[in-house]
Amino acid sequence: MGASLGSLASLLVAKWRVAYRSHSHLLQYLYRKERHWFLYFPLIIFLFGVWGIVPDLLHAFNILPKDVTRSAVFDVFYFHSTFEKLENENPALDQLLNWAGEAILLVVALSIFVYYVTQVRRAVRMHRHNNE
Amino acid sequence: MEVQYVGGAGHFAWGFVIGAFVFLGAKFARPASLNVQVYGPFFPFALGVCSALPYIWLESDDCSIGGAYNLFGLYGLIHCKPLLVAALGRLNLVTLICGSVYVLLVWHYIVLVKRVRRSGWHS
Repeated sequence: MGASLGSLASLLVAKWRVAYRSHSHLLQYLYRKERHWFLYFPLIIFLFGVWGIVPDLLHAFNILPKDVTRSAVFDVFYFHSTFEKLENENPALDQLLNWAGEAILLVVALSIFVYYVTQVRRAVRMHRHNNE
Repeated sequence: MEVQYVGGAGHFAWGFVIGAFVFLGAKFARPASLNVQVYGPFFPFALGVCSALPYIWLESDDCSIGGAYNLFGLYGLIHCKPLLVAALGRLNLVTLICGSVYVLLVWHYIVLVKRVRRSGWHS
């Protein structure tokens, strides 16, 4: 879920930066600071993902016990408590959701690579075109 | 209960990390090849998926797997090795390992794109 939301955010910003480059002060600041800032942007997908494992980290580092990190309020971390309950009550559906999540993660991870590949190929083409 | 075998994610991580080292080796062995720089980062994924494939249809707690299955990233050899079970049997550690290697691969692409945008590619 984190990877999907992060990808969606990246796509929206990708469209937004083209449409609002000349109007937005934030975008102008970013372009002034680092001309290639958008290349770093897919890394926010990682940050969106980290949000989903916050309850697990709290539990792993003994900051909060498991029954607390499974209370309703922790649903704010991408429905963490609901999915934990589902793991106990319906293991078959949980397994299916795990596979779906892994497939989404693989697609997102490879799509980011494809984005960089297109950027490299485009840059190589442009340089060849300029040198001809 | 303590897990006594490497799971599907662990096998993927094993292949993914070895694939990343192979890519690094290829990157330094053939620095002038644009194809290695551009398509090399896909290799860890290919090897990771290949290493985890048998987990889909084999019994996960079977420690007698061997022979041809070792073609899938040494699947049989590593499946019940205690040291690897300890390292790759924990999902949070696997996530950390794969996540870190993935960020390094993304970093490789960022540096490559900036370099090619600046001065093109001269092989």
